[in-house]
Amino acid sequence: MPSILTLIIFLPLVGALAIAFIPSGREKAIRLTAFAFNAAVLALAGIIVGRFDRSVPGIQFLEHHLWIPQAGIHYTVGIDGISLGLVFLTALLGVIAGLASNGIKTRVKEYFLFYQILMTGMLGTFLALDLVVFYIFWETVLIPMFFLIGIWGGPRREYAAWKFFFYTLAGSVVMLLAILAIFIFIKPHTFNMIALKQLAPQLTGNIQNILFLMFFFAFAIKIPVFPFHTWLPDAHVEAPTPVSVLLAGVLLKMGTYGLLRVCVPYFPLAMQTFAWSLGFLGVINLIYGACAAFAQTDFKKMIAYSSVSHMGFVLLGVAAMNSAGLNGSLLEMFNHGIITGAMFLLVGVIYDRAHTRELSAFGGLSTSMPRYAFFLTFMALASLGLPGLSGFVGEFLSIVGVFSTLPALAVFSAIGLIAVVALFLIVIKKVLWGRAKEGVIWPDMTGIEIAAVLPLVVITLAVGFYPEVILKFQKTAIDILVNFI
Amino acid sequence: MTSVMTFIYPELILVTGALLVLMTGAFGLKRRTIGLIAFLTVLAAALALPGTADVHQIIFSRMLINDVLGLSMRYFILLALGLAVLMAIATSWPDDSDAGEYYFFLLIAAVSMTLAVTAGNLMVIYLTVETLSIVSYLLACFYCKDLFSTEAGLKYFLFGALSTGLMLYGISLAYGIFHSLDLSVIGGVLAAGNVNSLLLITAAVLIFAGLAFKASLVPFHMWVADVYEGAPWPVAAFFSIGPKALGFALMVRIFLSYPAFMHSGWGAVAVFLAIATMTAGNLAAFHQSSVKRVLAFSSVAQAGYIFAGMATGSLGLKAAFFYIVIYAFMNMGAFASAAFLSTGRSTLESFQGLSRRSPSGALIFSIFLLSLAGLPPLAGFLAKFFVVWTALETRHFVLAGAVMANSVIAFFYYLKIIKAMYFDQPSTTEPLSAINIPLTGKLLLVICLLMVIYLGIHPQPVMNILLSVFK
Repeated sequence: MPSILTLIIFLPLVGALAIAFIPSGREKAIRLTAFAFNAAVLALAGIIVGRFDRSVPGIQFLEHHLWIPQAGIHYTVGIDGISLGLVFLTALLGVIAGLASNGIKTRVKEYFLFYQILMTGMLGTFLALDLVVFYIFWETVLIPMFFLIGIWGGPRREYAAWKFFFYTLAGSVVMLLAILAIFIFIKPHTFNMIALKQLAPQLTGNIQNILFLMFFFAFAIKIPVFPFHTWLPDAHVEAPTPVSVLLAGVLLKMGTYGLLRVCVPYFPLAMQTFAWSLGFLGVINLIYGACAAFAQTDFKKMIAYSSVSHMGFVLLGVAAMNSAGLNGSLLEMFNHGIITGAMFLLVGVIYDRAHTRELSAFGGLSTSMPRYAFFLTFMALASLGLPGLSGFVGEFLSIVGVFSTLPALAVFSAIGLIAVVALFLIVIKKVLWGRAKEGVIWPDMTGIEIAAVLPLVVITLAVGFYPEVILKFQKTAIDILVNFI
Repeated sequence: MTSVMTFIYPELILVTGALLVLMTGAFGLKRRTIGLIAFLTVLAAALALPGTADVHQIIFSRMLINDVLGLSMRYFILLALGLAVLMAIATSWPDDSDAGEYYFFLLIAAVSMTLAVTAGNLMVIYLTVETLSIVSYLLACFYCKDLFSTEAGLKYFLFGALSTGLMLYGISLAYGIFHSLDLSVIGGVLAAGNVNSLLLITAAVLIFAGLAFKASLVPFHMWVADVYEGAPWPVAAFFSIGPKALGFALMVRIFLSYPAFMHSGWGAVAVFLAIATMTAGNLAAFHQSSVKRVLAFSSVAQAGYIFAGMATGSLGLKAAFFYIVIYAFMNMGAFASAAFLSTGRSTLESFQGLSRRSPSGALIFSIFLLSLAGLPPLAGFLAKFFVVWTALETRHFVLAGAVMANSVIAFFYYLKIIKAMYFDQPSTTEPLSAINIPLTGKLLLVICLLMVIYLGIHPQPVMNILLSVFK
C-alpha cells in the first residue's frame, strides 16, 4: 500500500490515464473525471494537514525506497512545515483552476491530460526529498506547461511557450550539474535531502559559493528574480486563465521553495555572503515590478508584474536569514498563491465578457457588476497589503525580519510598498469606478465563478485576521532552518 | 565450455536464413511472408546465442574471442536488426519482387556485425567491417529509381571506401609494428614497450578513423544526413543504431582494452571529438526542413553524447553503453513513428496538425523525441544523467558542461517537430484522412515505448548486464 504522499503525487497521473481512455467527444465526462481526481487530491491534502503533527520537528509521512541502487538514487518523499502549506495550496488551486477551465472549449481531452501531468509534477516537486527525484519532478512541470500555454494561449502563445520553456530549461540544466556536483563532493555520497542537511558543511569556501550560485540561478529564473523575469509577463499574459492561476500560484513558488529547501540549509555560509545581494535583488524586484506594472495598459500584464513585485518580499524575507524573515517569506508564498490566483481568476472573468484586457476599455463596472466589484476590491486590497487581510502579514514579517539584519534595504522596500498600494488603487479606479463605457453591459459573475473565488476570499480573510492558522504549521520547520544559519 | 561450432551457430543460422529469403524472393512470395522469414531467422539466431560466455576461449585460432562484451553486443545487434525487420515489414516498401534481396542484405549486414564484435584479430575486423560496408552501400541506394537514394548510395560509397581504406592502411602499419594482427599478441608487444611511437600513433589514428566513420563522429559525420535521407526508413533506422554501436564496441575492443595503443594525449582529443560531434550534430539539425534529416543529425549528436561517456576513460564505458542501449530503443522508436506518420520527403510541414489525424501516433512520436532530448523521467534522461555524472566524477567539467549546454540546444529542434504536430494547423485545407499504422508497426512502437518508459524507471536489468561486461 503506497503512503498517502505517494498517493497524492500520482493520483493526478492516474487521472490523466483515466482521461486518456475517455473518447475525446465526451467533454463533460472528461471535465468530471479531472474534477473528481483533483477533488480527491485536495481531500488527501486536507487529511495530511489534519494528521500533521506540529510538535514534531523535521520530516513526517516519510517514505523511503531504494530506486536505482547503482546510482544511489532513492525514491524519498516526505512533508514538513515548509512544504505543507505549499502542497495544500497546490491541491486547492488545482481544484479551483480546474473549475475555471470551463472556459476551455477546444481540445478538452488533451488539455486535461496535460493539466493532470502538471499537477503531478508540482506536487512531486514539493514532496520529493531526494535531489534527483526533486529534479525529475521539477522538469516534469515543463512540458505540460509548454503545451498548455502553446495550444490554449493567446495570440502570441507560441512565443510565450518557447520563452518559458527555454528560460526554465537553462536554469534546470545548471541545477542538474550542481546536484551531481554535490553528490560527488560530499562523502558519503548521497542525494538524500535530509541527510545532506547534516553533511553539507563539508562544502567549504568557493565550492559552496559556486554551488549556491548554480542552484540560485535555476531558482531565480523560476521565481523570477530580476533580470531573469522577462519570460513571466509573456507567459502570464498569453496563458489561459486557469494556467495563469497555476503559473502564478504554484510555479513561482517552486523557485522560492527551492531557496528554503536547498539554498538555506545546504549553503548557509554562501547565503550569508550573498545575503545583501539577495536582499538587493529583492528590493529591485519589489520596486521594478511595481513600476513596470504601473506602465501596463493590459490588466493581466499588470497583475503579472505585480507578482514580480510580491516575489521581492519573499526574496527579502529569505535574505533576512532570521526567524521573522523566513516565516514571513514562507507565509508570503502561500498568501501570494491565494491572492494572485484569485486576481488572475478575476481578470479571466472580465476577459471572458469583454474579450479584451485593456484597462481603458473598462470603467464603472461597480454599478453593473456589483458582485464582481466586491471580489475585485477585496482582492486588490489584500494584494496591496491592507492590514487585516493575509497579504499584510507576510509582507510585514518579511520587512521586520530584514529590518534587523539589513535595515537599509528595509527602508527601500517601503518605497516599493507605496508603489504597490498606488498600483492596486489605480486598478480599482480604472476598472470599477468612473463612468461606465457606453453600450457596455456585462452580466455579473456566475455561480461557478463565485464558487471558484470564494474559498480564496475566505482564506485571505482568515489568514489576515488570525495568521497563526498557517504560522503554527511552519514554525517548527523554520526554527530548524534558522539553526542552520 | 561452448564448442567452436555452437559458438557460431547464430551466424550460421543468419546466413542460412539470408540465403533462404534470397531464394524465396525468386519464387514470388509475398513481401510480408519474406519479412516474416527474416524475422524468424533473427529470432532463431538470438535463441541460439549462448547464455553465458567463457573468457579466454580460443576459437578458430583466436580469430574470434568468446567474451562477455562480444556476447552482449551480439544480442544487441540482433535486437536492433529484429526491430528494423519489424519496421521493414510495416512499411510499404519494397515490393514483392525486391523484398528477397532487401532482407538478404539486412541479414548479411547483421552477420558481419556479430562477427566483427567477437573478432580477436585485426584482419577479421577489417573483413567484417568491409562486408558490412558493401552491404550498406547497396541498402542505402535500394530505392534505385529515386535520385536521392542513388545519391545516398554513392556518397556512402565514396566516404566509406575512403575510411575503410584508411583503416586498412592503419592495420597494415600495425602488422609492420607488431608482426601480427592477433589482438592478444599486439597487447603483449605493447605491454613489453619498445614500440616506435610515431608509427604506432599513425596506425592508431588511421584505425580509429575507420571506426569513427561507422560511429559517425566528427569529422566523419558528413555522409550521415544525405545517406539517411536517401535510404529507406528501416535501413536508416538500422544504420543509426547497429553500425554506430559496432564502431563504439570495436573502439573498446581495440583501444580501451589495450590503452597503450593510444598516445597519452588521447584523452584530450577524445573529449574534443565528443564535444565537436554533439555540437556539430545539434547545430546542423537546427535548420533542417525535413524530419528525416533532423533525426539524422540528431543521431550524430547522440553519438557525441555516447562518445562523451567513452572519452572519460574506462569508468565512463558503462555510461556510454547504457546510453547505446537506451538510444537503440528511443531512436528506433523515433525513426519508426516518423516513417509511419510521414509521407514523401517527410517535410516538417507534412507533420503539421498531425495530433488531430493520429493522436496516439503523435503522442508516441513526441515521447520518443522527448526521450532523445533527455527529459525525465524517460530513459533518455538517465542515459544523459550517467554520462554527465561520470564526466563530473572524472573531473571533465568542460565535457559535462558541454553535454548539458547541448541538450538545451537539442530541445529546440525536437520541440519544433512536436510543435508542428500539436500547435500548428494542417498546411492543406482539404480534409486529411486518419493515419493507420499496420499491426507490426504498432507492435514495434509499443516495444520501444515500453522500454523507453520502463528503463527510465527501472534501469537495473541493463545496468546489471553492463556491470558484468565492464567489471
